[in-house]
Formats: sequence, structure tokens, C-alpha cells
Amino acid sequence: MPVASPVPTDPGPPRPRWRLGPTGQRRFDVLLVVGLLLPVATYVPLGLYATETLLALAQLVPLLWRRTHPVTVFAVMAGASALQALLVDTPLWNQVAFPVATYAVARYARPLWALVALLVGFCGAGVAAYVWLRGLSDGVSGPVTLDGWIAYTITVATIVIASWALGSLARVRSAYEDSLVERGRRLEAEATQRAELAAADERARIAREMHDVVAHGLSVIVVQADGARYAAAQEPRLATEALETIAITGREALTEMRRMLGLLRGGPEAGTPDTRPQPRLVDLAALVDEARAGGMTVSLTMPDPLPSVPDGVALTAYRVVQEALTNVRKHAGPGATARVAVGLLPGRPGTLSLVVEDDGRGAAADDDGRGLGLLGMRERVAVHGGDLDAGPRLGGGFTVSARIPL
Amino acid sequence: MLETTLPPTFPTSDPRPAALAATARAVTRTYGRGDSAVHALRGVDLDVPAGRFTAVMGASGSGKSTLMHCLAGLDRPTSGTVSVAGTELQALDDTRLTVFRREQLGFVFQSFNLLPMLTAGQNIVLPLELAGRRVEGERREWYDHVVSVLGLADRLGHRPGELSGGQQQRVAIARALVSRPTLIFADEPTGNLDSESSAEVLGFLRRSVRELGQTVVMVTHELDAAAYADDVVVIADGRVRAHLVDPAADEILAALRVKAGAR
Amino acid sequence: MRTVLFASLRTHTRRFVAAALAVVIGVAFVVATGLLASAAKDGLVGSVGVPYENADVVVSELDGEEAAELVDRARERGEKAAVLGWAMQPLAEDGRRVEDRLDVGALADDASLRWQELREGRFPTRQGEAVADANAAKSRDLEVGDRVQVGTGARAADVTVVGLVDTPSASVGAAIYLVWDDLRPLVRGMWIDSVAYDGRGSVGEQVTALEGATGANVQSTDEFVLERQRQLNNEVDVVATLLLVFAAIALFVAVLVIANTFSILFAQRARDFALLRCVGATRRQVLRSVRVEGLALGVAAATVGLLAGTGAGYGLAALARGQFASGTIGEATPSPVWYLAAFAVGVLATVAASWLPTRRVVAVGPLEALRPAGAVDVRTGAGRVRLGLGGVVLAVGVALLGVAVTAQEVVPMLAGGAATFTGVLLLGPVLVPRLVRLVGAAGGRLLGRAGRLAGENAVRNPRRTAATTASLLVGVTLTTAVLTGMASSRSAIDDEMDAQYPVDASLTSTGAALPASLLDDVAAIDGVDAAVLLEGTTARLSGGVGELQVLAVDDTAVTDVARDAGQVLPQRGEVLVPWDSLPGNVSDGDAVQVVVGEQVRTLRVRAGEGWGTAAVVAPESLDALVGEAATPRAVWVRASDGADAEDLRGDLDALGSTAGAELANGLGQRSWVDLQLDVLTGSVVALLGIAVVIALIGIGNTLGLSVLERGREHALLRALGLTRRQLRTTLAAEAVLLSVTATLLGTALGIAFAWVGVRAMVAPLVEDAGLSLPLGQLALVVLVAAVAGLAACVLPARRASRTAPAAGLATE
Repeated sequence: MPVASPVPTDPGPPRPRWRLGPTGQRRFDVLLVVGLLLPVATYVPLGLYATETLLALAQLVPLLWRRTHPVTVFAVMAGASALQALLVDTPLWNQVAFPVATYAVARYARPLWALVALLVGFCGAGVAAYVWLRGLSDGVSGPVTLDGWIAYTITVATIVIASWALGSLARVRSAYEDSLVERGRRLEAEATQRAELAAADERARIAREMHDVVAHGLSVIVVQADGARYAAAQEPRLATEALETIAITGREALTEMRRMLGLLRGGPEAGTPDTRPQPRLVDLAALVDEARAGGMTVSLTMPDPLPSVPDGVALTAYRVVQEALTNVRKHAGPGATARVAVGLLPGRPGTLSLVVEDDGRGAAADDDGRGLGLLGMRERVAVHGGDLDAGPRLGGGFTVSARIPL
Repeated sequence: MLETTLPPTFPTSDPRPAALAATARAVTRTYGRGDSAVHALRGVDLDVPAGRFTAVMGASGSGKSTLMHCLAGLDRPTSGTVSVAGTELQALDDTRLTVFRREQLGFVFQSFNLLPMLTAGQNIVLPLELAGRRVEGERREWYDHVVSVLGLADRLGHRPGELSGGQQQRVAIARALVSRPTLIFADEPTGNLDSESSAEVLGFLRRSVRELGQTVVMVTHELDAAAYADDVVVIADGRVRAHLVDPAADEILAALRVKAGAR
Repeated sequence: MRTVLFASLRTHTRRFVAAALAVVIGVAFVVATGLLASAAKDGLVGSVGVPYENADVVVSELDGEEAAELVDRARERGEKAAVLGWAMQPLAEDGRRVEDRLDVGALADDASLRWQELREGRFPTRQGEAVADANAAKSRDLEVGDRVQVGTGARAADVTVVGLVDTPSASVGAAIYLVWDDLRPLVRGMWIDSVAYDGRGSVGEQVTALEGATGANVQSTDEFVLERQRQLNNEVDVVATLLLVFAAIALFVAVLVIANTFSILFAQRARDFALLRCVGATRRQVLRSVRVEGLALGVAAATVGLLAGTGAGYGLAALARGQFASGTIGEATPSPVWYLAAFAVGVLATVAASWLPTRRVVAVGPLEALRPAGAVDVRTGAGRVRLGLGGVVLAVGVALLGVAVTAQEVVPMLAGGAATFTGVLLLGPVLVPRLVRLVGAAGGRLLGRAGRLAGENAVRNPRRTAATTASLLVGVTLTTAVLTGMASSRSAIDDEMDAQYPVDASLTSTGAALPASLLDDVAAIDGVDAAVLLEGTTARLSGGVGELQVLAVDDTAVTDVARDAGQVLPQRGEVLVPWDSLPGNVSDGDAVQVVVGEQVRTLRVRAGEGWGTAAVVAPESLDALVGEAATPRAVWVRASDGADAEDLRGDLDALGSTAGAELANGLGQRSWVDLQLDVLTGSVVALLGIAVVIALIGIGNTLGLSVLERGREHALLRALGLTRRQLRTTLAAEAVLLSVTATLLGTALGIAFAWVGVRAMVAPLVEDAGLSLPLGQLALVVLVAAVAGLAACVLPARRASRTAPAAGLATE
């Protein structure tokens, strides 16, 4: 079973289905322009000729590029519209290009450009209203009245405002969504990074300190041993002194190592290397008793006689069980029972196997970052060349199992 | 999972002679008529103990889902009686049956548990809202507790489309719990989930039995899911073949195989 | 359920947009109609009284002669009278014909009765002066100071335009106003609306006095104006009612679209409803919730429709004010009744449309939520109640249509049409799949395997198939009915026109013989199909008719040129005299003497029109009158098809003026009528177009949704080995199959309705009106419908084919 990790495995919010990909966008644009151009085909039968058709093309075709160059497209279209105001005095179908281009500017260009487009739109509305009213009223009711012009302008301007508003809204929303997605991604990356860093840190620290302690001590020991070998023949007394130094240095190195591994309580007493033996497999019974004293129901199974394992391995095994039982206490919930099983798997020289499992909440426990502690244990076990797995147990509860080769 | 040579069993909780949450007596359910009739249930007698996690297991077509539907008042048996929380379901008309469901039962389905247009929070309180009850005071505390237990506090404002499968099932469980029903029915709740989310969901169901005193009846065809239950009922060909109490995995397997061999 | 309701409204709004749009359009239509009607009333009705402001009495229902008598009477007694009416006369400037038909009116002698408002220049002070309507002048490039000739021949009037006026009353306005004495000679051909009389004495005394003086209808001004206003109100109401009929059609289509949309959407949400029932929502709660959804949609859509309609109404009124003569359209005033009614109709339509689908929602039991999707029973029946009802409604509809045909009434026709159509729709699940199978079998070879699969798909779920095709059916039926009806009316009217304008154009001599080369010149003109030179002489007719050209017309001359030979071929002993040339005392059937020099012949008068201002006799009569001395006196022209009336007029006029002949342009007048018909057809199609747009929205909606609904079927097909392209082809073939079937059915129905319409509405006006099918237009309709159906399924088909089979099949 996979290790329960602190990295969130959710895939994140799904991409909204109505957002088109690049091909979809292209196709949409083409379809839009083709669709808008269709009525232009009726110009000639209706009696509108070259001028109107050219103007229509000039206003509609640039819309193909409205996504990539919205401002340029708008400028071209506005220019063509202005031209139309001069040459033709009736509204044509291709007016529809104006709101489309305004929307494109508001959606795809910077807000400042959108505002400019809006203002241009207002002016255009006024001009268009005047030109068209004049064209309509030609021959019937005299010059264009102020009332009529204002009314018409407002009507046309409403369309411009609407497209600008829609475009701006769409832009803001799209930006917001992008920022959300971005944030989600960042959080994910951060969490992953954090976990990796934690693991790497631990590893590096162990390695570094081990190196510092052991290398120094060993070099001293080597020198002393050489000296002793050399002196053994001439002055045996010097050899004895050297051996004493070797012992002292060795013990000091051990002490330093233990300290590094966090095993000493309360720091080193001044000058006196701690000679208390490190927790070994046999101390697991006491650990379990401690847990029982704290109110946990836990059983322990160990082979008799205990397998002999290197001190480091025994230490690691102790720490693993300690961490696992702590987790049980914190997460398994009330009424959970735990079971600790230590064993030796066959082989030469064999593998030490540890299992700590409980029948508590398991995967349903409240999650508060227990993963990091187990991550550290995994690193420890890996130092000795072993594996550690932790995860929910079939039938309910949690199980931590480790195998360390001897 | 790493292999060990060590026995995997735990000292089990002892089955108290508890009250019965639901009973079925001589329940049959037949669909169709004449030659094309399908006998989904052929006389089922079942007692569902309260405060325990009961799994109903069987192959496809064994009638396990039909049994659950009849127990839950979603379907009317052709004959026989079903009584839940002391109430006989046949005596209720559609409206009263609906109200009964609303107040006494909770549901977790395999999929389509949630209304897609409501947020998680709104989905959770849906049964209460349908009953016209406001979520305040004691109910509010219970709601907060359920939400925190299921770890949904930061997901309440999301729509089901924004939640993963496991999270959706958790919301469904929360909804089932919030009205403190007599019985919670779960129909293949982990059918669509990966192993991690499955473990979560099953763990929560188990936790609701252990710590919140709920009674859960879960229909499943997966052995792994049944392992989480206290009792296992094995159904085959519309009849109850076995009702195991605190079974070990191989006991369940044996019961399932017996049915296959007996055919 | 409130949370569920609000969340549902928020989420599903998008899907309802199409349905809402249909209601918005329908409601807006109604509101706009109301506003326009009120504006029209304000304008027309308000301006009715303007010409009679200073008159005491109004005399109406009289002809030109009687009006002239009244004016004479007034002059004798020193009272004031003004004639309100007009004559349609040609207008020429500098000898060149500017206009074939212009409405010419009379300017009151007395300033107090002058109701025109002077804008430029001055009013005439003597004969030979006239004022023109400012707008009419602008469009014809007339200015103050221009000399124009109104009318032709002896009765023409040469006048100078001395001023431009505004015409505040649309019903009695004209383009140019002559002084009464100038207009007097043309009075016989004048149409008189009324005479405003300002006499001495009290109103009652005047009324009594005038009643004794004339046989026409005499009323006090107030009475007359009131009656007129009431009449106009009624007329506007009639038009408004007609427009409401279209609005009703649009709303009918909207109801169909909404019902379809709701059906499909609720079917898609079936699982949600089942879940709600599982979790503890009672049937009533769920039902109420979806009904409120429908109500909310209706209220929202109706409100938007009210706003849109208000905008449209005011906008259209403003636009119309600019287009029409001042005084026709006034200010639009919103009426609470209209608004309330429109709102209520919109809401009711939505609620009614959503009623049935909501009932089906709660038929779903809670177990539906748990069953995997594939267990749905596909072979759904059509429902016996529905079939029974459909049969009954259809029978009633057909009966009503029969009544409409025999009694030639419009109301039974509309009711019968609606009932028949509803009956067909109700019977849809039975009718449509069978038709689809037929069409599929017929076209099977074309479509191949995909087609066969498509055909089977289409008939598996009859109700769904019928629902999908309903919208298209409505659109096609409407359009076909209208187009066929119009085309039939058109051809019936064409026949009438042939009788009324038997000769397209004629050049008739004004007194002398025409040069022989004229025939060749005329024949050489572009647009002239055939021309014939007719011989005759100048003769004097008795009975006050006066001097006229007399032409001899025989068979051969006529067959090439005349459109309706019977009108222009005189029998032996007959003389055909144009109506305009007959004085009041001579009428059809009377005998007149035709005198040429020493020769006199007595001939029987047959009145007619359409060949100019000459009299027509049989060749024997002309021989008897002048013998060999007959000279070319007229050229009759038949225009080629598609000839431009204006150009022809210009060319012929040029030739005619140099040759000394005057032009009668029947083609010009006929093309004016054609134009009116085109405008009418266009308007009706445009109004119906609204309903068609709604129907197209419906097609897109239902086709798209129905493809989505069958996702599982398609996934299964793909899993079994149908490639993406084959699936797309199948879906396309299905769409085309459904479209074509709906179109064929719709076309058949449309033609049937058109026939009933022609017999009910046109036959009373035009004898022997038959059915004429505009094949080209109908073919276009079929094509558009097929394309629309195809286009509607393109996107959903892509999505369907893109889904991986496993994803679509998963029991989720």
C-alpha cells in the first residue's frame, strides 16, 4: 500500500468544458466570420453593389484575427465604418462587425484600449445616428431633429456599451479563473517541494553528521593504531596508551553519533560520554508497557530468543515502533487496539520484520500531517537498506510494516 | 501491502444482543409476468442488528441490491413484510414513506449521490431542508461535528463537479449522518473509487458505527469492502445463504464459494 | 426546496435561454403591436378633423359631378365649399412625362377652408397656379416656379408651382393641389372623399338646406368627424387584430419549443429528481419546485419581452413617423391593458407549455437514481389518450376548414388551421415514424448502411422523434402555406390585371396621322416584345363625348399585343370607349353616333379602359366611316417579360412627343400593383419569419439535446465497431432524414392550408382563383430545412463521436 503522504493528490478543478482549445478557437472564429459574411452574398441581388460589398468585406473579414490583434482589427473596422458613413447613408448588415470588434477589444486587449474602443464607439454611434436619420428622413420630414438624433444615438450606443461590458466581464472572469488555476498549481508544487525538502534535509543531516563524527574519530583511531603498531615493538607502554586513546576516541565518536541521532536526553553531561546502552529490541517490551500505561490496548509478539541484530538496526527498529505507536495514540481514535509484531524472516543473513497495526479509524482519521514523521522513519530504514510501508489496513485501521535486511 | 507471516486477525468486539434496526420476513420481489418474470428475491428473512456495520454480499444478480431497496422503502416487495425502526413499511403511502425515508434513513450510493447544482454544504443539509427544519442550535453543533470529522470544512462551498470521487462520497456520508437516522444504507459506495479513497470511505462508515453509534447496511460485491464490516450477510439467487457475525476473511470466502458450488 | 429551486434556476438558466427567447419574442410582438396601434390611432384619428376645422357641414358619399354642383351652389349663394378628394393623373414637365399617376387634389377657394400649411412660396391667386406637397415635390425634384402639365389631352391643365405645403391629414392629402377651376375638367375621374361646406345660418339649417339640394350624405362637422374617427379606430383595430394573429402564431410556436425544451431537459435531470425523492422530497415538493421553475422562467421572459416590446414599439413608431406622411403616425401611448394582457399571455404560455413535462417528472420513482442508465425501456408508446385526442382535434379541424371553404370565412379558416395542425402534432408519434420509414426506404439506396441505421434509430422512440420534428414542421408548414397562398393570389390577381390593363403601352395620336416609321422605332426599343400599328381617324361622338381618335382593331392586331383580347376586340356594331372619356349621361350599352365628315354611324357603347384615350371599332365600321382614308393613328405595344416600366415609359414618351402622340402606360400602373403585392408578401413573410426564427431555435435546441440524450446508445455503437466517421455520418443521415420528412409533411400541409386560404379569402374577390405552386421557392424551403436540420446536429455529433466508448458506457 502506498505511504500516506502529505502531498494532495487531487487533480484540481477540471478545465471548464466550454473553454475552447486553440483549434476550437480557430474554428469558431472562422465559422463566425463565414456566418456573418453569408448575408453579404445577398447584397448584389438586393441591388447594393461594389461599394457596399467592399465595405462589408473590409469590416467583417478582419474579425478573423480578433483574438490575436484585437486593437488593430478594431481600428481597421472603425476606419471602414467611418468610410461607410461617408459613402453610404443607410445601415447595412455589416454594422454587426462593430459590436463584435468592440467585444474582442474588451476581452482580449488591455482595459485602457477597451475604454478607447468604447469612446470611439460612442462617437461612432452619434455619427451613425446622424447619417442614418438623415438618410431615412430624406424626402419626408425635413432635417434631423435633436430629439430624434439623441434617441437614435442612445439606441446605437446601448449596443456598443453592451458588447464592451460583456467583453470586459469575460476578460475579468477569465483572468480570475487563470489566477485560481495558477494558485492551485503553486500550492501543489509548494507542498510537494516541502515534502521533498524535508526528506532531503533529514537525509543530508544524517549523512553530514555521521561523516563529521565518524570520519574524525576514525582518523584519530587510525593514527593511534599506526602509532601503537609502531610502538608495540619498542615501547609496549606507549602501545597501551594508544589503545586507551583509541577506546576513548571510539566511545566519544559513538556518543557524538548517538547525540546526532537524537537519542540522548538532556544533552551531554560535561565531559562524560554516556555509557547507557542504546534501546535494543529487548526494550520494545518496556515501550509497549509505557503505551499500555497511557491507556492503549496493545499486544506484543516477539520471537524467543530475540534475533541478534546490529545496534543501528535495533535502534532504528525501536524508533519505528515508537513513532508508529505515537501515531496510533494520536490518530486511531477511541477504542482502538494495537498490535506489535517483530520477527525474523528466513534467509542468510535474514531480514528483520516489524509490523505495527491498529483497528482504529485508519484512513478515516483526522489528518494533521502525520506523514512527515513516517517519512523520517522511512529515511532511517532506508539508511540500513530496508523498506517501510504505511497505509490503511484492510478491514479498518492502519498498519506500518518495515523490513530491514541484516 | 507487505507480506508478513504473522496472523492478521484482531481480537474482535463482542456481538452484544442488540436491538434490531430492521427486519424482513418472507420478502419476495418479482418483476414482469409469465415466462419473462424475474424473481429477484425468493423469500428473504433477515434481521439487521442495530449499532453494527452489516455488509450484504453477493454476485451480480443475486438480489442484494433489490433487498436493500426493499429494506429502504425504495421498492415495494411483492409479498412479505419489511419493518424498519419498528414501523411496517407496507402500511405507509407514498408521501408518508417519503417522509419516513427523510427522517429515519440515510443513503450513500455508488454514484450520483449529490445534486450537481448545489454546493457540498447545501447537499449535506438537504434532508433537513426538505423537512423544513433549520440548522441551528443542537443541530448546528452536530452538523459542525460531522463536517469536521469528515474533514470537509474547507470544501463546503464547492460544487460536486469540483470534488474528487472520494470527497463526493464523504459529502454523501455527511448528508446521511446529519439527520441522525436510524439506519444508513450504502449501495456499493466504493464501486467507483481507487483503493485509497475506498479505504477512506469505508473507514468513515466504520467510524460512524463505532464512534457515532450508527447502524450501517452496505451492499457490496468486494471482499475487501466486506472486511470492514462487523457482520456479513451472503445472498445468492434471491435467498440468504449465510449470516456471519464477525467473520474472518476466509470464512466469508468459504460462504461465497459454497453458494457457487451448490448451484 | 428553496435552495434546490434557486440553485436549479441559476445552473440551468443557460439551457432555458432558447425557450425564454421564444416567449420574449412573442410578448414583445404583442406589446409592440399595441404601441404601434395606439400611435397609428393617435396620428390618423387626431388628424381627421383638420380639413373640416372651419366648416359647419360635411357632405360625403358623392361623386365628382355632385361635388362640382355643390361648389357651384356655394359660389352662387356666396357660401364656401371645398372639395376633398383626388384624381390620378399623369404629370409632365416641359412636355416630358415625369409621372404616370399622381394624386391631384383641390385647393379650397376660400382661405378659411384651406387646411394645407404653407411652407414655401405662396398660395395660388388665380388659375394656372398650384401648390405642391413639400415631400412629394422633393422626391420628384419639383420646385417653386416649375411649370408642369397635369393630365393629358384636352383636359390637361398647365400650371405653375407657386408654393410648397405640408399635408397634415393623410386621408385626404395629395401630391399637388390645383385651383378648383383647373381641376374641374378632370372631375369625372375624381374620387371624392367629402365636401366641406361653410354656409350661412345655424348648422341645423344648413344641414336641412343641403339635404334638399343633394342626394348625398349630409352631416354636421362634429358628427362627421366623430363617425370618421370611429371608423378609423375600427380599421386600426382590424389591422392590430391581424398583427395579433401573427403574434398568436409566434406564441403557438413558442409553446411548442418550450414544451420540447422542458421535456428534454427534465429527462436529462431525471436522476436528480430521483435522488431528491430518495433523500426525502415528496412528489408534491418536487412537482411544485419544477412548476415554480417554469413560472419563474415565464415571468422573467415576459418581463424582458415587455421591455423589448416597449423599445421596439417606440422605435418602430419613430421610424414610421419618419417614413410616412406627417399625421399618419402620432405618439405611441402605452396602455396598461395591453401590457397586462401581454404579460399574462407570456406567463400563461410558459406555464401551459411546461405543464405536461412537469407531470412526467414525478412519474419517475426514486429507484431511477440507482438503476444504471441502460435499463431504460426504449420502446415507449405514444399514449392512447394522446392519440384519441389527436384524432378528435384533427377531425374538428378538417371540418372547420371545410366550413371555411364553403362559407368563405376567415375565422373558421384560422381556427380550423390551428386545430388541424395541433391534431397532426398530437398524432405525431404515430405519423412521423411511419413517414420516416417510408422516406428512409425511398432514399435508402442513397444513404447506404448509415442511412438504414439512421432510419431505425429514428423510429425506435416515436415520441422523441415526433418532438424533434415538431418545430421544423411548424416552420415549414407556415412558410409553405404563406408562399403558396401568396403565389396563388398573385396569379389570380395577374389574371385580373390582364383584364384591367389589356395593353401594356399605347401611343395614341393627338389629332394628326402618325409617321409610318413610328412602328419601326417603337419595335426597336429595348423592352418591346411586339408592336402593332393601328389605323383610324378623328371622329366626333355624340352625347357629349366629343372628339376622339377612332381606331380599327381586328383579331390579328390583337393577338400579338393584347394580354386579354376580349377587352379590346369590339363586336360588329360596337364602339369601345374609355371610361374617362364618357360623360355622365352616356353609359354602357347606349347608342352613340360616330361622325367623320359626312359619314355617320350609330354604334353601341361598350365602356372599358387600358388602351389609351381612343375609341375602338371593328374594321368594318372604320371602312364605312372613312374607307381608304384611314391613317396610322396609334401604336400598341407589348412589353417583354422583365422590361423596366420606367425605362419603357421614357423611351416611348420621347418617341411619342416627337411624333405627336400621347402615351398610356398600362405597364407602369401594373408594375405599381405588382410592387404593392411584393411588399405585402414580403411583410407577411417577415412577420411569419419571426415565428420561423423561433422554430429554427427550437430545431437546434431539440436536435442537439436529443443527440446528447442518447450518449449511451452511441457509446455502445462505437464500442461495437462503428468508427467516428460512421457515427457522424449516421447522425447526419438521421438529421437529414428527419428534416426531409418534416419538410415533406410540412409542405403537404402548407399547400393544403394555402388552398383553403385561397378559396376562403381570395375567391370572393377574384373569381376562379386557383392554386399555383411557386416550385422554386418551395424547393428553396426544402433545401433550407434540410440544411438547418443538418447544421443543428453538427456540433452534438462531433461531441458524440469524440466520447470514448468506455466513458459513454460506464455505468458511472
